[in-house]
Amino acid sequence: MTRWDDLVQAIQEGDFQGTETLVSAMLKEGIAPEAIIQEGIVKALNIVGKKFSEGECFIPEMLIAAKASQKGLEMLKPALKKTSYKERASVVIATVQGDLHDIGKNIVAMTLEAGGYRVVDLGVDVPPDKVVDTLQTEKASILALSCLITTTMEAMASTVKAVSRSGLQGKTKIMIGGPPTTEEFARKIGADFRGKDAYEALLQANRWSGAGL
Amino acid sequence: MAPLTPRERLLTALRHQEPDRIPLDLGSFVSTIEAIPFEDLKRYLGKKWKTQCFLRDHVEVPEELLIQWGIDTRYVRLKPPKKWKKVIEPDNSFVDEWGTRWKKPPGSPYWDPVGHPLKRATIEDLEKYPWPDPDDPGRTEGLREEAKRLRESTNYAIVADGPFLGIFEASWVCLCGPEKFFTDLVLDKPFVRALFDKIIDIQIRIMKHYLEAVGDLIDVIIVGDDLGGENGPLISPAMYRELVKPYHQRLWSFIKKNTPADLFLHCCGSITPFIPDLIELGVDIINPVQVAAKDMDPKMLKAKFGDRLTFWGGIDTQRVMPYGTPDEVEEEVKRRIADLAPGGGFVLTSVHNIQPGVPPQNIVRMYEAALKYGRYPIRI
Repeated sequence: MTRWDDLVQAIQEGDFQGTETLVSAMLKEGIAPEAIIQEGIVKALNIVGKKFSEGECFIPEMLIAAKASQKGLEMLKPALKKTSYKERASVVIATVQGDLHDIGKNIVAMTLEAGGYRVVDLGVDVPPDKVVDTLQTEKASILALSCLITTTMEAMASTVKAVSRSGLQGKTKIMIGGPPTTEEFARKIGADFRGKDAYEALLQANRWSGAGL
Repeated sequence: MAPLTPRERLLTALRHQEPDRIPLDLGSFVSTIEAIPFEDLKRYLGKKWKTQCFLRDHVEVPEELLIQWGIDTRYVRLKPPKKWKKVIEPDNSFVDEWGTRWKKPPGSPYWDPVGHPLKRATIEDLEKYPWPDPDDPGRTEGLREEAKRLRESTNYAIVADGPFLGIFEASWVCLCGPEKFFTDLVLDKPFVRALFDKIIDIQIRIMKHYLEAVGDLIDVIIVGDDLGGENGPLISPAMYRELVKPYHQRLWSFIKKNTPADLFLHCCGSITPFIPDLIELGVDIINPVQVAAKDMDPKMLKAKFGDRLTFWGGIDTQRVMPYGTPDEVEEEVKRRIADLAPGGGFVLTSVHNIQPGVPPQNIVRMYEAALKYGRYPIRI
């Protein structure tokens, strides 16, 4: 018996053990891992992400759901290797140079990963050339940049400039986020999108990669 | 109205009556100038003041400037404990007395917490943890004399600055880090309560020494605990009531019992849903009134809570102060005065400290405009 609702609920509640037990039982039943991602993990994140965006749940609830999704995903990885499953796209994510804040960036990274993306997380205080190098070596098609403080918005602009100078513009879609950023700022510095939270980041990544939610 | 003394002015506003003009503030750990914009301001004013900082890069504003701008508040604050020394290491980081490592990376004007000592802690670890000594005599050394001097030889309103971070922010920003703490808020409540129990006992003891030194000499005492983000509360009001509020109650009711001063809560972000709880816990003054955050329209706040709360802050530091022209700053001051000043219950200062990147012309204009338009009765 496929208990999709149970899995969706376990993820929403941050029930790590329950998530792992259900995923493992589903695999044993012969359910395709891609289906578990789509019907379980992505669905749960969709519900929590929407609630977060609408102010019905808050950082703790969003964080535990993202973490539970990761637990489920870890269980699925060996099975996924045996299938033709391909991640939707590779994403390089970083908090820009001079900025050490990462809770928002981490939730976005976890959400994108659980949403089917290969995520290369460069951490915090990341210089522009490291971002460019990683985009090239990882052949990533999406760059996600975060900053919390006004003064590091300049570093975000230089990072976007470095990407465009490196000839990656056109090949890499750039999304930015963080409290001081705005859509206007994104346009000004040449980023393609500004998201206000992890859910918006996932929706936009899906639009770019041609995947539906 | 005949001019009031600064202290009378502030106390009148706190009683929700209209003084001669709006009281002005500058100088607390949440309403001062950061070192970088202070250097710009000194150059602009042609002054050679020595830059003296407290806490991290928080400037002790020179008395000459406080007088020139008509600032009504003067501060006393706890000193660092004797057993702890701030040692800046080669990677430009230091460990505070609670064990959190702060770092300022090249290119950043801010110290940020990077080393969270309780990142993987269990309840048992809390017992073994080297907590700060709340009885360290260094904290209050000379403090009573300073407060007495201010009380006896000046007529300013005396404010006791915030002595520590709030229990919620100290836990997630510093001790545990956000990932552990926000996860534990849902999945490991016994740990959260055990941690809060540890912190609150120390905070109440530090507060006891603080109030024994200055409790009878001050007009306002500051506490802080940020509960909001840009787009809404960080946690649900229900979670606040279940886990955090009982600890706020313990500290704040202790303060209320031990000083007649008004209780000033610094609480950043979008926090409107918490305000009724905060009022219930005895908060008299709310700061910084982060007008750029969601659901923080000052007019709405004044209409809903203005009879019970004094608003302290209100001049937008996120958009207007750094990016506006001096004329736009003046418009911002007029707007906030129109919304918040009628009937008293308003102390004007910027939303949080004046940040790097704020032009000195804008700081000067903010205080000029406050004096120009801040006379009661308000006519804007």
